[in-house]
Amino acid sequence: MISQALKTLSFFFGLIAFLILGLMIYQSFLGGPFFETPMLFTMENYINTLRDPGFYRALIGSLVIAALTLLAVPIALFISIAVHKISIPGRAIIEPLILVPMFIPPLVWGFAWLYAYGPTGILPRLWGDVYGLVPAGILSALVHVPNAYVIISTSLLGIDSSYEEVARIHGARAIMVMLRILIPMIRPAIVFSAIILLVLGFEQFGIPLLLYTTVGGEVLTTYIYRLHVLSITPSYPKEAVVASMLIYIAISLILFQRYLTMKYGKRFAVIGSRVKGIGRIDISRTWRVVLLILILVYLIFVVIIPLGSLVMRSLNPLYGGRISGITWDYYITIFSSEYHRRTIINTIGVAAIAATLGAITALGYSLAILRSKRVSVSRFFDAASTLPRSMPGIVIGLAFLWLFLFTPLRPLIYTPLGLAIAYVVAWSIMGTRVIASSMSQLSPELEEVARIHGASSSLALRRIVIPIIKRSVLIAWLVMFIYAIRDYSIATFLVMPQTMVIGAFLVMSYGAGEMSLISALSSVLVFMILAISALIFKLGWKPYG
Amino acid sequence: MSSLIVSNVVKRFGSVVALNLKGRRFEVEKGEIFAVIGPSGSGKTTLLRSIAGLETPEEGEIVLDGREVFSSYKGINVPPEKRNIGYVPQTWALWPHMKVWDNIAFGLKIRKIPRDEIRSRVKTVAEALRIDHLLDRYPWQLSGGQQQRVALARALVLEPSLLLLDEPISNLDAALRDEARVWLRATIKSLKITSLYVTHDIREAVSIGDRIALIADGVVRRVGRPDELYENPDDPVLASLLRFNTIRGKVRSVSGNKVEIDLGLGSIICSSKEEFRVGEEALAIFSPRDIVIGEGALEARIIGSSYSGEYYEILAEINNNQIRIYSANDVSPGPKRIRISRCVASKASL
Repeated sequence: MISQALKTLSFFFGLIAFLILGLMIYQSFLGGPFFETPMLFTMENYINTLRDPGFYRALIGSLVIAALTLLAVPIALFISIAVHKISIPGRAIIEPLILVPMFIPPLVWGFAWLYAYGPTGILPRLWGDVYGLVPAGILSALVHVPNAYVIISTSLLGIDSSYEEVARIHGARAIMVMLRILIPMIRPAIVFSAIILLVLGFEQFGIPLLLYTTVGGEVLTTYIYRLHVLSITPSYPKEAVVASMLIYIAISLILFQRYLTMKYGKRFAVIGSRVKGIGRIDISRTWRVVLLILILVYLIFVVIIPLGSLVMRSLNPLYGGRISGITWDYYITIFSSEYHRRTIINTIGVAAIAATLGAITALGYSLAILRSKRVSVSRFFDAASTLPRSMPGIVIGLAFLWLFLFTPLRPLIYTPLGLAIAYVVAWSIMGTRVIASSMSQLSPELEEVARIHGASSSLALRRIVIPIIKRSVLIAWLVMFIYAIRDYSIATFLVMPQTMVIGAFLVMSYGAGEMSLISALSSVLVFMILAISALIFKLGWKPYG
Repeated sequence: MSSLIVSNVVKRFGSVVALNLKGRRFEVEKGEIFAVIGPSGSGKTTLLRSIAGLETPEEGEIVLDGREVFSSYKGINVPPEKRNIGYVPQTWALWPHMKVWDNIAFGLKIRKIPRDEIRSRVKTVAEALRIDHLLDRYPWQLSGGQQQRVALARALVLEPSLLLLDEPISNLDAALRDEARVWLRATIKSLKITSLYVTHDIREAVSIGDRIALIADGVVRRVGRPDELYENPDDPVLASLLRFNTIRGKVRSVSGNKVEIDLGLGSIICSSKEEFRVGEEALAIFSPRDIVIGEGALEARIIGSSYSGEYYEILAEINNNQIRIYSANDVSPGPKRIRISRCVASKASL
């Protein structure tokens, strides 16, 4: 019974994942809105879009942001080697700080960055102008360092120390071991992280919205957003074309990465997969201190000062300028205002629904992917969980808006459940990864013995599989919860004032000058995210390995 | 009465035929230990999983204690939990979140057996297998030998119609394995439980099984008692599992059930059950023990030797075919005459 319910629920979400992707691409080939236009395919929308100079401006903006996001790769590579391969002191404190930006929404980083280094920030214009295309791209890179760090570290930790030891014994110095052995061996991970960063760079919405559109710039995601928000009658075909182009870019990048894995996977397969020990490269004390200082500088200026500025701003009685005492006024305003209180409660409520549905779906996906005997079934669910990753949040939000507005799913529009469903479809991959990785270590024999000895498949699931992997189900729940409360781009299209969530509120009010409220709400969000991520780490979650 | 009947079972994975018992049928008698041996990828695990109900064959019939549990013709497919089978997998698969007691009692609890009876049955089987002092521990607190006993207890406590064992002692140390073989056979035999024992180790199969089925490329090639297989290993796959020597040659003459096979540098006379024609290709199969060095008509070249502790294992060549010889004395390399005292002939193409 349980296994049947799981299958039905997973299938429902899997189907919706394909539906929203299909809807977007389908609409991009229709002359009018999909709900009132006959099925006549046309290339006209694409031709019109390609003739629009505004589109090119946005495309170039996106390309520059994506390219600059690649700067995260060398930074992550450097930190990863320093943390895992060289014994720099204080690793236990440094590593969580490096990973922190991963869970904090880029939009909030944007605010934090402005409060730190913006014209009225705590260290005004320390790095020059914070507005513009290049500053937005650089911040996008800094925000995504943890994503690259996780991929590179996984690969680095998979290298047995004997490879380095042989090189050392055969006469290579530490720097040679790094340049000639380590980095070449993890080349696939470096390329993989670069491709993921390109995808994330194209997807980026919050940072360009804050730092680039305010000076008149445009990228593809903000272009869609403004097409939708600013035009009086929404242009469905045009929005769909730009959204579809973003999807094509992401899918091509992902396919390219899979092709590379297939082509070079064997060549880089490490013989004798069992890692006996992770070697540490000995370097002189002086060099170690230099490395440590470099990393500390990074952490102080990229993580600690911006987050500190965000919190300080929310406690600063004066608008802008220097710190002049401490006030709790903004927090009192938030918690005494019915609207803001409801926004916070909605955020937590929607996230709890999404996390619960998401953890169950992730369990269903993992079972289908790992335990199904039919290849077509596991392929379907594999695709259902990964495909939404090719859609920027803003595109997912728009697709769900259309789905809810113009199909029988209408009762879900602007409801917490509707938003939660969108989150499950968008982020089930995060929970699936956690559960599938622990389930893949579980020998199917454990269930098979139970089956043969008299347990039905539901009973085997309930008594054998779930008790063993319950910790990862809990971690999956918390991960999905974090992804739900940190979202702003999907929610932008799927809330109304009664069902407002923090992320969508931040997007809608960034231009309204409510900086003090924004800083206080952002601080509340950051505090929740930090608390839950601390809990996840404590539960033994490893971002890599 | 036969406890297990398997007939015409065919299982494919995509286009690959993993098991093809079309036109074949074998029966396992009540209380018998039936060993299934074959190289890896031969289909023996597929056979076991089909009997268990973990795989659904495309075709065939499986009857367990007079009850059809699978029949493609009648559309019967009893789910694994309703077949009343005990299973000991290769990894033992003890549930890590349950204590030994709960591991053993699991199947009984599912069958809604009264609590007192569960207690007494778990206790009885645990005493019989000498693990009654471990009931309060978790699997990871046990040694390999103890885990193997718990896995067996978990299956035996159900008093199953059939016990399936999938290389259950291959995870043990070599020293423990010898002991486990004797112990395992004695335990199963004393409980008179019909068993199907899958392994790729011929020594395990012959020492544990009452009868042995040889399976290769999804096909059952031979079924027989251990001594019958040793006496008449006229199958190249069986010969290689038994570590017998196999040399290809041409039939020179046939008289009755004796065949003379030309090996290039001399010929040997082998017994045969099959019809051979003169000039046909044939395989001469003979044990490394049945070779005498220093006499006879065959020319061989000794390549080298190693001492096994009981005898010398000598590597030699006959007309570019490598063979193994077990000898009480060491032999220096170089050309030597040899005599093969016993040999069976087999068709070259099977």
